[in-house]
Amino acid sequence: MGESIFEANLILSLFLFTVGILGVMWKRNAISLFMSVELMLNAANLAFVTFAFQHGIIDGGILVLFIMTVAAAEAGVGLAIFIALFRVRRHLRVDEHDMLHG
Amino acid sequence: MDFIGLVWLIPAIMAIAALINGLGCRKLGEKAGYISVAAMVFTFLLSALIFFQVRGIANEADHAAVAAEASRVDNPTGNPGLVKWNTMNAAQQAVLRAQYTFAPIMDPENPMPWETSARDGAGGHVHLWTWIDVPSVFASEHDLRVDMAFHVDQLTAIFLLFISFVGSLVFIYATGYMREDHHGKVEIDPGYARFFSYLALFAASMYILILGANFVVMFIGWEGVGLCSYLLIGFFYNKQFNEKLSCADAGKKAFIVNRVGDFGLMLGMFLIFWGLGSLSFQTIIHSLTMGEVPNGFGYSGVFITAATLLLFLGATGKSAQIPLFIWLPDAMAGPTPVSALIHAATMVTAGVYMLARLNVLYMLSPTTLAVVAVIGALTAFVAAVAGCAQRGIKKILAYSTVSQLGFMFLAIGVGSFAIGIFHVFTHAFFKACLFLAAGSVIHALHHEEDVFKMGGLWSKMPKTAIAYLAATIAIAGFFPFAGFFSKDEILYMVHSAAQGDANSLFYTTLYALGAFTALLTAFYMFRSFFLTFTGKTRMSEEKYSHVHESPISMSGVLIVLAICSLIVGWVNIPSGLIPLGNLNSLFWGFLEPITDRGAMFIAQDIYGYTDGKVPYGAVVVGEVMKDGTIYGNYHGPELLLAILSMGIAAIGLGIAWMLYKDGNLEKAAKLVKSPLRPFWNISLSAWKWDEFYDALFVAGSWRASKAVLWVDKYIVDGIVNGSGRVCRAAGIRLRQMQNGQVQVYGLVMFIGACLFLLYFAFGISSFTENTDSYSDPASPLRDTLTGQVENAEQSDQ
Repeated sequence: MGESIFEANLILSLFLFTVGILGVMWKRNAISLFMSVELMLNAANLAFVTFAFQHGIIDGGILVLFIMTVAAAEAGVGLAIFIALFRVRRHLRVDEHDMLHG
Repeated sequence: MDFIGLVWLIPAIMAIAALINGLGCRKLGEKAGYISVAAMVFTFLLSALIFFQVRGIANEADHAAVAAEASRVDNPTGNPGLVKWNTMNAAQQAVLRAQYTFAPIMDPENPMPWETSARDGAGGHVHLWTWIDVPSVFASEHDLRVDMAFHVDQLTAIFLLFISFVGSLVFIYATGYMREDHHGKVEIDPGYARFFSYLALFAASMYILILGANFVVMFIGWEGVGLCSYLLIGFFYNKQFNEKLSCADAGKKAFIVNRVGDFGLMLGMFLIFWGLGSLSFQTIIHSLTMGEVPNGFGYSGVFITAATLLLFLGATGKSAQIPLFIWLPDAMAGPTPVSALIHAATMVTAGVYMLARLNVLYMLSPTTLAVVAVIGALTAFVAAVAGCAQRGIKKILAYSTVSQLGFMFLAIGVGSFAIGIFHVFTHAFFKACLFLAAGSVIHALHHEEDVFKMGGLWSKMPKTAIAYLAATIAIAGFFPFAGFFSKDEILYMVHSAAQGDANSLFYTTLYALGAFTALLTAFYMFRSFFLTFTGKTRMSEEKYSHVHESPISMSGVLIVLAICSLIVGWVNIPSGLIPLGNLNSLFWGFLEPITDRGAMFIAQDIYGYTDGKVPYGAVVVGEVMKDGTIYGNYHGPELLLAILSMGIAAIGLGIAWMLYKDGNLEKAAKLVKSPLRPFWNISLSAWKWDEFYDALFVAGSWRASKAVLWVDKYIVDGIVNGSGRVCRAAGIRLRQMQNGQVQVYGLVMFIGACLFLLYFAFGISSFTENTDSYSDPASPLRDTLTGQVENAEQSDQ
């Protein structure tokens, strides 16, 4: 694989991560927030795979599998929480769920 | 029967009585009084039995001593009165040592039941249990072993006898005093059972004090009587004593002043233990007289002087001497029977008792003895002056108690321990009589204590008046009343001490002071008598007509004590006064094996004289004994001195007679306006001693505590409150960061992660420019990111 693909992959990963960050910061809906987090995780996955491929070390690829597993579990737990939250408050606007402020 | 072995019953019975009365306070009512009286009378009977047993043993020992005397080694000098210790051979010395010094007594593992060795204390050592047993850690230290043990000898027996006797009488009296008869309706004090519980507890403590075989057991009693004194002075805790103090304040004052003395007592104890390795009286005295003592514990040693002075400080507290006597006049806030028992007859004599008990220690330090003599004489004088202008009848008696205690210490200061104890003994009777008679008057007048508002009570309460008169004659020192024999003997001892070549002026001055005090004593005592009982009354007609004699439980006791005030002095008639052969100086002869141990030791081992009889009093002044003509042969003009001191007392009586006999206060008032005014002011204000202490210690500590309070308030509290305020202010600012917005948290986390990344990747090298940071192990990530990538790239190519 050539240098350009390697760099392009990293730039894509960076781009996805940035989109994820911005989404986490700006989106108000919890589901959107959650999707942005997934985006960031996938950006990381992409970076892992790219590096693994570039250096010919399998570790990065294995780590990606772990991250995907954790992300799936996290998605399950997170969505469950959101459903429960929605049942109580009838909306999912995170900026209004601020009862834990000091 | 072995009564000495049962001696532990005495304090135990009193403690049980105290417990019963204390626990059953409200239910017992008048029965509380009977319980305490019964317990006290029981202890008196047991004490009497113990006394006679001790006397029996002592007599046996005396017979043994006489036999030993008969087979005594020949006198090498041919001069019967004067054998020099160092001219004798070892065998002779051994014989004399066995006779006169302290025989080895206590093997703590295996206590002997009796001590019957010749010339030694007759009595027993009752070991109850081992209380404290701490082995030493270092070889240079002593094991600390304290037994719960009682020791009975002549000194203890005498104290047991008169404490239980006077105590029983006072208890009986108190059953009458603490109830009021309102026209047939009997009213008992609400604290009746509490009062008798305290009294019984006091008696238990006092018994422990005198019975204790070591410092620690004595100290239990010492503190116990202090506690009971505090409780009883403040018995009417909700009443006002005078314009400055409430009764509770007076109790506190007594307690706190006594703490100062106890501080000295404890330091003295520690010093003794540090040097001699024991706290048992027997062992201490034994090691001082027989064994090798460490440096500073020999004759005139610096440590023995320090220890005895510190112990004496304890004695000045308990026995109300300068500088700690100020609590006793205010102790009169307690009920009158308490003043009679505790603050006149028993507790305040504890200091005298301790010094007599430790006479060997005190004889080893001439400096301390001189201090004791000076303090005693000064206290006697100062208190006598203060007693001359007082108006409260109990206050007069209080100052006279302080003054008489001063006489006791004066006797001890010239080495006459037995005579000091003799004055304790006689004083217990006539002072109890005075106080109880005063209490009878106060009771009859419904708590009027001012003698200026009395007068003419002789016809109304004749028994009380006669008792008061008898005791007044006794304390003033007229023949043949008790006080004459004891006080005169003290003055005679001081006079003997003045016969030495050295220090003659010193002791002559003390004698003059003592004699002048005797004049003052006669004056103020007869003043109080005349003002109270003779002349025209200064009370209102109506009140005067209601005065009546006290009930039999009180007047009967007064009569018994009045008779005692007459006769108890007869047990120690000196041969110089009336030659009675074997009947002379019985009291002194009985106590001699205990109280003159120190004198004998000094005479033999320090000055080298071996004749058994040491001229008491004179022994302190080594000069007297070095002069062979005086030693052992000195018979001062005792009769002459006795007549002189009676003449002095008669002058005091005469002045009081002229001024006060007809109950007219104008003559005295006129005299007060004369040049005698300063004297009167000094007397009335008691030398402004209280004011002086108030200014020095009370105000001083007040100021010091205010300064400390300022430090606490503004510096310590400032730091504490300041740190709190800083935290609070910081918290108010910081809590705004926790706004509950999960996205803000995410942002902060992200920024933090970025900063970490930057730090690990480039931070070290960019922050520390000039160091070779590429090998810095603190940035592993940088190595991973840069180095490994480079390596990977290299391997890739």
